Amino acid sequence: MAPDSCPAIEIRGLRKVYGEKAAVDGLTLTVERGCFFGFLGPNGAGKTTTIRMLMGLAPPTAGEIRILGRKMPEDALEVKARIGLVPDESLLFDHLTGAEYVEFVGRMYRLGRELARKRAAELMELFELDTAGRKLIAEYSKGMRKRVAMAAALIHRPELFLLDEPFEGVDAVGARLMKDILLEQVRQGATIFLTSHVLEVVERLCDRVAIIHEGRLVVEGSLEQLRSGEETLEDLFVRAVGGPARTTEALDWLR
Amino acid sequence: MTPAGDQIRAILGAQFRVLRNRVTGGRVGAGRILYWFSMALWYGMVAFLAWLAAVSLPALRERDQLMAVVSAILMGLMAFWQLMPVMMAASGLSLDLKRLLVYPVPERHLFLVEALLRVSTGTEVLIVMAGVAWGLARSPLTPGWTAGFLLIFVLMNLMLSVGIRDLLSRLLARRGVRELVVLGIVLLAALPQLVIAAVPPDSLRGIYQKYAAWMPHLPLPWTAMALLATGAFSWMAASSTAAWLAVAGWFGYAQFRRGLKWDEAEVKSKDREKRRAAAFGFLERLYDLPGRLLPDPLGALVTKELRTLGRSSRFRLVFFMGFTFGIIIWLPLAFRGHWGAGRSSENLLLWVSLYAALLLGEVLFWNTLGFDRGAVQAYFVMPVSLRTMLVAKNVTAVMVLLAEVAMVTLALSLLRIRFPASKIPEAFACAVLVALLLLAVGNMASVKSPRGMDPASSWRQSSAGKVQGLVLLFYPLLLAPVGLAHLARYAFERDLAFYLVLLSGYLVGGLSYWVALDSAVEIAEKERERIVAALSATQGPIS
Repeated sequence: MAPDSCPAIEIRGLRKVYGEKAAVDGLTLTVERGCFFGFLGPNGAGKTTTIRMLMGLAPPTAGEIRILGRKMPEDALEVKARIGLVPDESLLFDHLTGAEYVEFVGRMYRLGRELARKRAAELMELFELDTAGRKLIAEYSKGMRKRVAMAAALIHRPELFLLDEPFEGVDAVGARLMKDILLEQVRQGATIFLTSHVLEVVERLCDRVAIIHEGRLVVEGSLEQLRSGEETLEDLFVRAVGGPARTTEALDWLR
Repeated sequence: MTPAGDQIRAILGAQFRVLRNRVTGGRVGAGRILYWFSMALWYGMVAFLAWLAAVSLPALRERDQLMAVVSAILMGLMAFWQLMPVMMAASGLSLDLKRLLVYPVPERHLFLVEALLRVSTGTEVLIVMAGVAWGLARSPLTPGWTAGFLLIFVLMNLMLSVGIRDLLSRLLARRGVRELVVLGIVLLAALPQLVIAAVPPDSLRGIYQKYAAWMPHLPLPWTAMALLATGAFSWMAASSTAAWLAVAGWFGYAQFRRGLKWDEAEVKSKDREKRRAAAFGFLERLYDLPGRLLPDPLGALVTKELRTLGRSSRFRLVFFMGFTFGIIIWLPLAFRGHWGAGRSSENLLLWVSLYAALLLGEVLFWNTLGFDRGAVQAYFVMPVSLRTMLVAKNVTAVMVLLAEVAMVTLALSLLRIRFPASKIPEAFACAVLVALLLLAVGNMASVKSPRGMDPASSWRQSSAGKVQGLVLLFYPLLLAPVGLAHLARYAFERDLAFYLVLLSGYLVGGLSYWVALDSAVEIAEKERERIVAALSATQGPIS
């Protein structure tokens, strides 16, 4: 298959074991190009570990990963050059200003100094961070940090976005702006692989979703296929991973 | 500039901006002035050594003599560059790969930057080597330009340093393996010390003379380099230098690549499993003990501190080094060539204990909020006074130091090193006095310039030389009361004089601690935002 016509992400039998626990256990998944894909799961389900493996940051214990037709981690350099990442843990440098950081990321993607600086200034303006002036990232709020991370992810016009909880801590205006930008990117042919605990956002944005639980894929398909009747994504999620087993009834002092 | 070169320039440029933003954002306080003063003192001493080399080498009139001296200097410099970071558990600057690996930067470019950063652990070596090069250039015995060969020596050391750092970083991250590695380093370091202590000086002289006679023919990096740098060319020296350079390059690059592929989280998860298995073990019960004996919230805070320290790789490493490495490096001085005898072995317990306090300084005294990092804001939210929080940290520090002195005593006894029993309470008393003074200064330093520390990182990020510079300035001042007590005993030949001076030291130390604690609490209350921000902040691309 020619690299440009193959899926954005192909994962076959992916497994990552930490000690005796499998964080990801035999995950097989395909994300087609131009898709807004929601990758969901409860805390500790293996979402971040999967993204770390997709980025080549953690070597898989077993399995195969192909991104944009290239094998990971063998073709890591080519793949990384075509990916935009918003990680859940901060990769920002706190003692740089937002513009300095975005320019730095641009240069890491080999845009050249002038172009990186120009695009950084434009992105800062787009994300309404230009008014922060010479403020260091250390002084940013959580939402501003996510916005600057998103700006940095866009600077080299990636074909694939890996977004780990990108809306966490972002206010409604900022979240709307980010969603609009992402939808525009999808319209232009980019693929988005998104993890989020805000299911309403996923429901509104994503064409397809996959839910993993304890490292295993439990549900995958389009929202129309997966939902039955009036069921919301939250209902589907709870059904897939198991409902709340405990209530506060057992704790007298809390009632 | 090629795109690849631009990546390297961008990394270095971003780091420069980080440093610039820090400096311009920071305040110039007494601590910073003292820091720069201590650095000036340390590097002044190093510059003096360089000057000494520059003026002494041209004065040598025999080529063999010149070669032997240069070879000895290069051996010493290589040992300092490669071993000092290990001895001080300080890695110097290095790339923050966790943040850089997400970008498409080729491995070889990262390696190049990493090798350049190794200069941070060998700044002193480079200064002295500049002096050596200048001396060789001016020597009538050499063509002058041959001093340029020393650059190959620098290159070899840079690459070797990358390899050693990466290898040790991985080994020291593994619980169990870490302790074995430190033990191995201790034994290795012990070898020359034991040889000096056990072999009579005449035999040592004989061995050295044989070495000096054979030296030009030995394929050692410093001898081969000394031959080339002094203009005594030979095929063997050239091929030996080339071989060492190739081996260092291969070792450095191979270890660096392994480091890139290494999944620290995987290793840490195995450690966690081992820890869970030990959760109900002896140590856990020990951590819990203060919580039972002391009233809350002090008891709970001390238990939390003990647990945090016990689970920190850095703390475990320096605690272990205190009673192993400490003993080894003080042995020759204590015995002065006479193994198991000699009056000065009486004070070995005290010296090792004070050295251990020095090693524990960063985790227990100078930067007590470091491990709390972002979580430090909990102290400003919880209904617990900051004074109680600092006192809990200080109580923990004293408890740990006493445990360290106990371990040193036990280790010396196991090694059958004799010292009077009266020295044991003396060592404990002196250690507590030094701890009081360290805490007085440390509490102020902790709130004035707090720095977030990674409890999982065994190595300190600063360079070994810097650490030594700081120690050189501050530690003798804090040891002064103990020194005065010993001086009093020597002058009056009575133990009573010793204990009276020690007692007055306690009064001064107690008062200093009390006043410093009040000031530290006041500063922490006023500057809570700055403290939280400083501890939460991350580094640049280079940490």
